[in-house]
Amino acid sequence: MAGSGGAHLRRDNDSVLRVENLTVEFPIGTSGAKVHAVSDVSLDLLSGETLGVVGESGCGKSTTGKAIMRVPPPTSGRVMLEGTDLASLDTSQLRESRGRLQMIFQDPISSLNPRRTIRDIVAEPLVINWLDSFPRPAVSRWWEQVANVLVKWGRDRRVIQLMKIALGVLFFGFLLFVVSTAAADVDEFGQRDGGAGADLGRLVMLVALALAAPVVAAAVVGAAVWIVLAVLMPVFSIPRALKIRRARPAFENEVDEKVAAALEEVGIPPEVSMPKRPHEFSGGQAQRISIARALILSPDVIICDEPVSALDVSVQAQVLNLLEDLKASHDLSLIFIAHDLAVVKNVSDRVQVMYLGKTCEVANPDALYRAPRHPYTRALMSAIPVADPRIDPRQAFNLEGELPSPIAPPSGCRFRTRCDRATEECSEREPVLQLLDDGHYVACHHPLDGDDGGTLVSVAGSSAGHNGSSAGNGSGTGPQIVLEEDR
Amino acid sequence: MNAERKLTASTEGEPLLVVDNLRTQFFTPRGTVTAVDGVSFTLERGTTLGVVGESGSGKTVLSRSIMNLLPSRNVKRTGSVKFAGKEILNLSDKDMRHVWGKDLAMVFQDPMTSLNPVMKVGKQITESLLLHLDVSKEEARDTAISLLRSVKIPEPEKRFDEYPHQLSGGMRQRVMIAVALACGPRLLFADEPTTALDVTVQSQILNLLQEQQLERHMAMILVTHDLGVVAGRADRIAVMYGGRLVETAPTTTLFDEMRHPYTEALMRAIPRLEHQSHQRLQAIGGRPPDLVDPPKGCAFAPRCPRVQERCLHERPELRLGAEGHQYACHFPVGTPEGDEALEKNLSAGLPQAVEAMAGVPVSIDAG
Repeated sequence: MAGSGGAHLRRDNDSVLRVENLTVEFPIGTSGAKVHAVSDVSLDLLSGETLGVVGESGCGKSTTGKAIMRVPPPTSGRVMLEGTDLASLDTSQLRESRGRLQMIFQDPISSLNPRRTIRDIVAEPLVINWLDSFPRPAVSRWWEQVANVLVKWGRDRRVIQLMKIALGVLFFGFLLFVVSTAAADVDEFGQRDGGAGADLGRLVMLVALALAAPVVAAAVVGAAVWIVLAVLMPVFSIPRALKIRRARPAFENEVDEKVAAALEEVGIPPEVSMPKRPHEFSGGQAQRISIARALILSPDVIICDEPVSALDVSVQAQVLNLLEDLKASHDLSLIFIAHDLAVVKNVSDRVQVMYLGKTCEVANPDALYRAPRHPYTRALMSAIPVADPRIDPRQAFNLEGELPSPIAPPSGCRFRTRCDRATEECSEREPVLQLLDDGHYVACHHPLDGDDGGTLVSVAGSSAGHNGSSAGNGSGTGPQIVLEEDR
Repeated sequence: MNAERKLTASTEGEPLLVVDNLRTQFFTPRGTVTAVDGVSFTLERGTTLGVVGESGSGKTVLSRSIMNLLPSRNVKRTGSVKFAGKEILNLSDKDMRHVWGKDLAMVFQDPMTSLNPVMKVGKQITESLLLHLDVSKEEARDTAISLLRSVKIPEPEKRFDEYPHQLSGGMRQRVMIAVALACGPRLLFADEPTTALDVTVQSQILNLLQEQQLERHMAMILVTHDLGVVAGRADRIAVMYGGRLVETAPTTTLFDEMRHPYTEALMRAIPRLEHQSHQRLQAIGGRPPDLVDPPKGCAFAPRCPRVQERCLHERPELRLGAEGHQYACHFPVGTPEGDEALEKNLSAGLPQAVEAMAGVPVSIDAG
């Protein structure tokens, strides 16, 4: 597992969201070491599809979701939303695209601002969008651009380097001047003349100042303009503020209606709930409110980051059913991130298994369950508690040990340190996603056989015999025998 | 798998823990909350009891009431809790200090916040060793390191001097277990020990708990909201709802002959791997009852697909079925009167009955 490649991307179709070679790295201090959170992950999402992303904590699944939203932007890789690269958009265009791409977070209570009412929380995206629809005065837009350029300049490594050099040279010239002056004898007027040394020092200082001059001038001019505009900007903004003020009452009424409709849709009674605050709701209700907030701008894609992990099984079922209903009624495409494969299987049309920032396996959920091809997927599947007292959970394929450090991930296949099938090859060459059978992609040098019912023997008991016939494209090894070999 | 354990348990005479009619009430500005309402059960030595229920069903308060971990103000506990024949309900905190850690220990839900962040891991383990057992610091250190090794923490000598933030969630939960096991308790409470963890780590931790339990011949009360977690691991399961036990039975009996509609609903709400994807889950509509003003009849009645007139007025008491199976329901699942009640509600179009029957589970292995 833990492989790269984009073989699983579907070429000729209308993918709403397409992520290519996404990499997210976080630098650690100034040491140069990096946390390799996501390394070369590709995925695509068709219209109306749910893509399940599954893996342990630390596999980079949440980071992938957040990098798609550009919070923070990925280190490299492309994120295409309906054909437009999100990285190519400027701030205001990106703000616009947020309406089409929304997110639901794991902890329902802490993802709602405790000091705001439910109405204001759910209305916030609408309000932001509405305010953006009033064009700001030309001066402020112009100034913003100039300020952006100045700030970009100021942060440019070359400019910083130039200033450092200029400062060094200035100091050197000063030193030369002072030393040669101090060394000179006092002349008859009580003055010291450093002679050629001092002249050279002056010259060096002049050069240094000339080097720094454009930057210093830009900074001084920028600061001056900044101060003037800071005084004037409110004046320029008055017409816009008046316009907003005039339109507000009608808009607020419209917001009330829209918020009520959104809350109604997620099963929260609007009248009683709108003036309340998040602490008055249970986890399941708070998660419904988060969903209403994500829905209110009628997005095309919603990224659900562990939306049910913090909920009880009974409430979890309610929220999963709700997501399915909303997906159908709103024509949504979902990316569903979770660590429980059973939950992911329930909602997904396609499942992508991740491990330590890499993709292991991509398949249709039923195919994945029938015949997991990656050893990690099998381990993940057998870890799910089964509500059957006759199955001894200790007999499952348990994954031993801890996740390796993402600062120095293992060479080759990143899963090899915990994999019972690992060989020399796995440490030398990184596996690439390859097509095994219909729509089933795996990144492994030693994939499990298609009819290896290993997990299934323990997970589904009697289904072992059935697996051979339903997915019978393997070597004909009986599932029981494979199970023995694997232990 | 439990045959030998049962045998040893019965030869040792009296049960380890006897809880009789335990009632815990909190006095709040809103009124009196009866979080645990007349719970009785017994626990044999070396066996596991799984306590299952939703948030707000009183399962955590139950374990804390038995452990005597609730604040003394505004809380009233009545009934009886006998540990190894000795009443511990009315012991003061001072007396409880001799019991905590030594006889009763607890693993809490959230490993992130239950360990002291400014205390080294090793010290948190040796603390109770030095308190309860007559050992020197060096001996305590050795014991702690071997405990860390037994909970499968790699490089225990190194970890001993680390702080909790240097460990992952799963590791911290292992440390919590080591702390709880330090003095060899006879009864371990595990209060949702894996809810904050990933599935893979969850199965590691649960296996670890079970191994340690077998090795030490320790009894365990495993509290969870997921029937799947206790299915292969508990000897007996108690299902709680609205502060009361609604069904309790040996594990296999409970799964084979589910009687209470709430147990059935909990079971059906679990998404299963062997189901087709997009299989509609059978959620339990509504919310748990308000414990300040509990319903007069059966607490589950407003959400129950089998609810009848009688359920709204008359609270069902626990009745005894076969093999120690107890359930509190007027119209139990799998009995003629229960089926009749469901039929009646279905034909009357009761929403929760229709919803419950909407997605009859289809397994892809069916046929």
